[in-house]
Amino acid sequence: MISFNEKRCVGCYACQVVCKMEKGFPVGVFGITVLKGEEADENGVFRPVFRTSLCRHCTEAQCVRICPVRAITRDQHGMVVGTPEKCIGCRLCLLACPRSVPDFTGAQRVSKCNGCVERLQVGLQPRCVASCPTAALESVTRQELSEKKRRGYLEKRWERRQGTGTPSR
Amino acid sequence: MKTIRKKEHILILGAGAAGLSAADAIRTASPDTPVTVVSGEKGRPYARMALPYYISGKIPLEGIMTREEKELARQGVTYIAGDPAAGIDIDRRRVVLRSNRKLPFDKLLIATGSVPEYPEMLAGTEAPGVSHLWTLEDARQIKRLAHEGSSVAVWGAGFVSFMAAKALAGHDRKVHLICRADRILRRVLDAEAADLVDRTLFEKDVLCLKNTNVEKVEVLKGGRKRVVLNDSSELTVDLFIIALGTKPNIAFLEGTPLAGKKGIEVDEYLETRIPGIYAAGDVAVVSDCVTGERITPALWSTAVMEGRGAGLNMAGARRRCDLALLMNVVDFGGYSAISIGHPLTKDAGAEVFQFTREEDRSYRRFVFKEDRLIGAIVVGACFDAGFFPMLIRRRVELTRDQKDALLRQPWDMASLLMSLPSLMQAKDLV
Repeated sequence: MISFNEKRCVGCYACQVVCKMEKGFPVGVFGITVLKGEEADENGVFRPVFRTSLCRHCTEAQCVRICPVRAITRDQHGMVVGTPEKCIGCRLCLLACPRSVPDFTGAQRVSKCNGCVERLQVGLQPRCVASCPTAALESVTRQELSEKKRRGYLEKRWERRQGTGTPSR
Repeated sequence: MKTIRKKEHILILGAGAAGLSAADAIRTASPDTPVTVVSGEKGRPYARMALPYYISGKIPLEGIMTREEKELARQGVTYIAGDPAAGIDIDRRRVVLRSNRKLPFDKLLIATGSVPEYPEMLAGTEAPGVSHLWTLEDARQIKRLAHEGSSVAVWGAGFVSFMAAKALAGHDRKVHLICRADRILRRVLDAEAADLVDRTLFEKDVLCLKNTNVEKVEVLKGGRKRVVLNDSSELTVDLFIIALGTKPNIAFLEGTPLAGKKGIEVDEYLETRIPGIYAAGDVAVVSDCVTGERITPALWSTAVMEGRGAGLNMAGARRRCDLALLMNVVDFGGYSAISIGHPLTKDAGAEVFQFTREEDRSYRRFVFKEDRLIGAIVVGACFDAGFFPMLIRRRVELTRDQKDALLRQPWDMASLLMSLPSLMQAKDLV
């Protein structure tokens, strides 16, 4: 799956552009979207922040469960993949997805990120990950991601206790 | 003290959304429990929801089938088709099918879905071309009879009638929607949204006759039908489709303590008052996640969730899964109307916000109670509609800034995503 590190993103939109190039999505459909906003730091100074809206290929994927015609399935790489030919355009997946990922603009059939399975098969990284200049996007396995999250959490706690600095390993 | 349990046999009545979701859940939770699924209809299980799309030709017949027999066999599920349940013997724990076959069970899931209402006055007009759009057989008949340029009348203006009209529109067909109320989809859409949908329908040659009811239907020689309306006008049509709503399919439970007025009463784990007997889908009376009222939502989405929850609970889990969110989507060739939660609430404390955008006929209605979103209608552009069910289901309390952001940019919920990133996770859904 694809992990996103908010602290590294500079908002260059490269992922959004190459994803469209790779998949040939119609106008209005994005496999990954970069969102821009602002946040105040502890001194009250505002700084821009970027977040992404992309398919998380959830373990408990609601879209896979709810699709009445099995147009969204999980493939052997663990990716949640849409099959437009089977889709009836009922939009139940859109409403079931907490991130509103499946898109029906244009063809009235589902289009969504498939985690670039065709690139994974030949040993390449997903296109958005390969194009990210700051490594804000990374291709990780589920296990690596949970390990990373755990470490991040512990580091944060350590920082809070020590005032600053990282734990010695 | 724990006794060694023998393998329990699980019986599932109904092979729809709830029944098959339950079978899947039981399989993941407990791979070797024997499971039997009984379907009242012949043939392989199919998705009732997809029938209109089969009629309109968007997908082939194969596309609406939800399971292959091979797949069921591989899952270790025994599948009995074309033999609906006719009665239940609670004391001896077995179900009697119509063919008088008796099936014993240790745990039972009743997921028999609903049946369409059939008005008394139509008795005697049984003919090809007067039908519901409910089973695959109905859909096949309608598809066969709907020729290029034929005329169609659909009685009712709810979800099923809308889907029927949508499926048959085009191909030079004239479609009439006979609507008893003053607007279509009266329970889920407000007047503004219904008006927008109405305009789109009109452009596709679907005529909506409002405040109208059917007085009489006659079958003419040659197979056409004469429909007499209460304003004494007449329609002569090739196809007459009845879609006046549905009721839970629980006739076979009559005389047992399971049958309630609205459906089958269940607790928060979807277990009925008789231990070991569960109910899910259209037959189960569950709680509305906004108001707490006891309702039978009769929706695909709730059936899938309840089926899964019931399946997990039958396999030994204890998961609360009786909270239902009302959620309706109608879509007309790219123009969709979505209603979530309680957008038409009569609650005095509710705040209503409406937004209209003429250029693409988009309309949105948000209903807040205190700082929580309790209902939304989204018509037209809908790429971000997935955020609303989440906000409503989780009863998210918005801060003043977040609410302002939502109302300032009603057409793009991405601004909200920026301020609520931790919410966008699916983990707490069943």
